[in-house]
Amino acid sequence: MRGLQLPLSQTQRIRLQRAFEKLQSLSSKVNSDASVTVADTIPVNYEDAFLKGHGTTDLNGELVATVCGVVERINKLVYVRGLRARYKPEVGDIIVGRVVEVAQKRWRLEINFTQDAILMLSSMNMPDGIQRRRTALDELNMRGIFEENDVVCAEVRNFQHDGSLQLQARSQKYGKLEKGQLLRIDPYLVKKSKLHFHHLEQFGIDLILGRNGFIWVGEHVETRDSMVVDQANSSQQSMVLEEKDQTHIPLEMRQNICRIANAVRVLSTLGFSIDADLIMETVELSSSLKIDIHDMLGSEFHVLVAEREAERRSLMGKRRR
Amino acid sequence: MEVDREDGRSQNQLRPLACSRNILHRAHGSASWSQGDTKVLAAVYGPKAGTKKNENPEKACIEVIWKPKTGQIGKLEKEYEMILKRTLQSICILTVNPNTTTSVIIQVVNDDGALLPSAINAACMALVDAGIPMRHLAVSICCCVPRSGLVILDPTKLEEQNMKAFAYLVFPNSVHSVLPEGSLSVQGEPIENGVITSVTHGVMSVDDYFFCLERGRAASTKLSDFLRRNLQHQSTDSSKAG
Repeated sequence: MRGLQLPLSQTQRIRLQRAFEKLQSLSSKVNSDASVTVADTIPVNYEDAFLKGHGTTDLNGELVATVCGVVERINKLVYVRGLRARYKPEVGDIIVGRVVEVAQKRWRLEINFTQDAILMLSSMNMPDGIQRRRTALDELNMRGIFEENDVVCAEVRNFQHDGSLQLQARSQKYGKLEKGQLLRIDPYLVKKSKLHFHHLEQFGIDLILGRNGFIWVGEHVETRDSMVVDQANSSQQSMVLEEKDQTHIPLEMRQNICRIANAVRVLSTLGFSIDADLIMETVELSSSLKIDIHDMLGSEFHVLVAEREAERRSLMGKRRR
Repeated sequence: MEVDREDGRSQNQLRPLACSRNILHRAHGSASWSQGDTKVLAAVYGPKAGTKKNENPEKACIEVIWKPKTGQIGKLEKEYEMILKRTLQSICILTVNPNTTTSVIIQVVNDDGALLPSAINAACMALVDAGIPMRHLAVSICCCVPRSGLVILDPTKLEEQNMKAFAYLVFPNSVHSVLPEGSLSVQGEPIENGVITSVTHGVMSVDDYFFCLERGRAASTKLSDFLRRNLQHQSTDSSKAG
């Protein structure tokens, strides 16, 4: 059992251990003894042709692992996937980052990676929505768009020659994120899926799962299509924007944001992959048991969530059979 | 012949080992290693772009910074840095990330004998934590020859000061094959019999040195079992995430 920093009573400890054992027994049926440490030989049928992937090397004709991890086989490719590794970016990933520097014609964002990512001024939509060449005046007004410590959502465009990322935020769904909370979890808990932007309708909350381990939970923002230019509406919209800046978030909305954020924290402490359905289930579990938002981070709720997850996975396993 | 040691250990007994990984959040890999009272913290940052001026750009470069507990950085620290750098260069696979630099920073938390071996073990675990590909793990041990009596392992600081000579030895960890039979061999000899690094101080006879090697190798299997259990535990934990 990993070192959870929770004060658990004796019964809670036993329950948690039992839930973890159940989960391990369920998962180990899928890939038994596939975890290797450095310098372990990987069992491969040497008569078949196979490709050596990341984390493997050829030592005296035997395939040996160079990192600690789990052996994955895809068709003929054999590689070792490192566990709890740093975030490995891919082109097209959705990530959430925080601005650390406003530099010449670009913003530098911190994204839980070896180097800071770069968001060029030209990869960003202008506030008035017109597609045009960025002039020196735009450069001077960069701070009007993003300042230091702003939270931004963007997409990975490509890798630069020195390995750092270049981002783009051209669509309306990317951009500055306001009125919400940013959470940091381990990057390996966010799996690549079709949908990273989730709109939880019953709470009116936006949930953005960044692949770099940054999760944004915030008030829902209507995404306007900038392509539609309507003179009559634009003046009304600018008035609505001003009003929005001045209204403050109601208490119930804030409580919902906190509840969802705590659900994500509990799931990440227990080491489960973060998924919108799982978060919704956890939130429903907490509200059905009438657990106070502060108590969600307590040991009892952690144990309940672990037991619930073990049950759910065993049910799924039975259904498959 | 029984040798009287102050803390009541036998001559081949190691001090209690403790190791934890991923303790620093900002570092790419970190580990803390303690043998008895000696405690060392290692952090790994990298790979970062670019190599130093005199280094070969076709290979990855490893940079070691040694921070003592108190005092300024002097010649002894520089020597430790150089030994650690050479050891780590021989266990890492340098051709995977050419033209990059990996920094390893060692902070001495407490020094109670066998400092350099603890640092090598800590650095190795930190590299594993950072996911840097390596050929094998480095397992390091200190053997010393007292003025009278047989070779003893893992001395404390007081014992070290009364020694005639001592040697720090680094062995590759024992290869565990996932297949039940067979083990790797290099030119007929099993790979565990190699020595990565050997640093000696003082005067000792050749027989004593070979004796040290033998004892050290036997103890290194115990250490590598400990490492393997530690890493295996972590990997089964993380595979729960599904």
